[in-house]
Amino acid sequence: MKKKTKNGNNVLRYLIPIAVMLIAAGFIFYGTKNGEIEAVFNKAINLCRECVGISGK
Amino acid sequence: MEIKAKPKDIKPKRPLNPIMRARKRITRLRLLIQSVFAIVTNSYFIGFIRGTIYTGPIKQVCVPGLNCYSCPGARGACPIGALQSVFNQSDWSKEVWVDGKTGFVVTKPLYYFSFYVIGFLMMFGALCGRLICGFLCPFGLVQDLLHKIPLPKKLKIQPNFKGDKLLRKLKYVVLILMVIILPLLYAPDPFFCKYICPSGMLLGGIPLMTIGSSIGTVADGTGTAITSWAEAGAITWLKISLLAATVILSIMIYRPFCKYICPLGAIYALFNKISLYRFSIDEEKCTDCGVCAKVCKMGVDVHKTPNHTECIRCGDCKAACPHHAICSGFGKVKRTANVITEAEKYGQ
Repeated sequence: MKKKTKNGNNVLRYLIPIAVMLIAAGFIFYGTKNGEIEAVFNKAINLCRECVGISGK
Repeated sequence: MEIKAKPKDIKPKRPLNPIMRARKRITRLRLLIQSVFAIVTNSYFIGFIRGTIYTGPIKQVCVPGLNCYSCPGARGACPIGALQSVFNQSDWSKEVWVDGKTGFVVTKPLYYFSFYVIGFLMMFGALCGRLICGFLCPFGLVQDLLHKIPLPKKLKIQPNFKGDKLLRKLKYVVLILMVIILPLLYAPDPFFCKYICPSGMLLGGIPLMTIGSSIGTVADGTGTAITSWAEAGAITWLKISLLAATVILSIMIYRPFCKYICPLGAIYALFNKISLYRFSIDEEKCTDCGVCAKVCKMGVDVHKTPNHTECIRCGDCKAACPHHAICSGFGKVKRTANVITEAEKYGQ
């Protein structure tokens, strides 16, 4: 007898997250090509005064 | 005459029941994973001595948890900070005007959608969902440790108090307003980081201002940044107050920041139902006893909704279930979990 489970095992359960991950990989690749990676990198390697709260304004 | 020392009245230690033992074991394991991950992602130790930040190539990669990239030790980029930094990119050649009332510069954004950062968030979310909150977030670890501070029972606030459900929706408002809309409209202000994020203050602001140094360049291009307490202003004190409130509330309530404010938690919550890592209930074994719901510190009724948006996958319910009805894992969810096996071993 098959075990009954809530949110049990079926094909969609695997297909959806895998499809989302593939789309995500595509997004990362496109974002890298689109120049977003530079925006992220430039912000990350320089001190963000606002982020750490060193700002009187 | 020899006086024999009276043996002290030592109360024999009451042995823990197998369920308590299993719960303790999963808590310890989780604490270990959280600590190791926090150390690995903040392993630029020299930054804490010199008061500088890491500038190597790994910094362009987003880390899964809320980890300020201006923390002296941070090796990667915070996804929420990175998302705002992309939205903050403006096309200065297009319409730009100053809002007369607020003084903010209204700009035309260069990117209306961040494929790069959202790609990372989708990847982490589809793989693990909020397992990241439970096991990989450094600020989650801080809150977990704070909640261990003993308090009289009267002062500890249990989950699902009046207004709790409504407050939990606040994190979605914070995500939409402070992380997406306002940074898109008013560049170059990272609104969430600037006005709310207590993690940035704790991991970045306090260490940098305490060490007190001058850092090469500043993100807004204004030159050298001198980090010292003398630089503290209204925003510093606002953020310190928010941090203090988070610390106090974390002692009283389990993970208040994750439950009510965290925009990263809000994003991963959307993936909890579809992520590869998931919980499932064996209905043949579940007796609806409600033990799982009783032990859940996030206030989730696990046997009804095992993949609830609020579940941070801490595994406490799984260890506490007397019928071994909760299963978890990537791919095919099997019943055999180490924790339960251990419980069975001692159960006899």
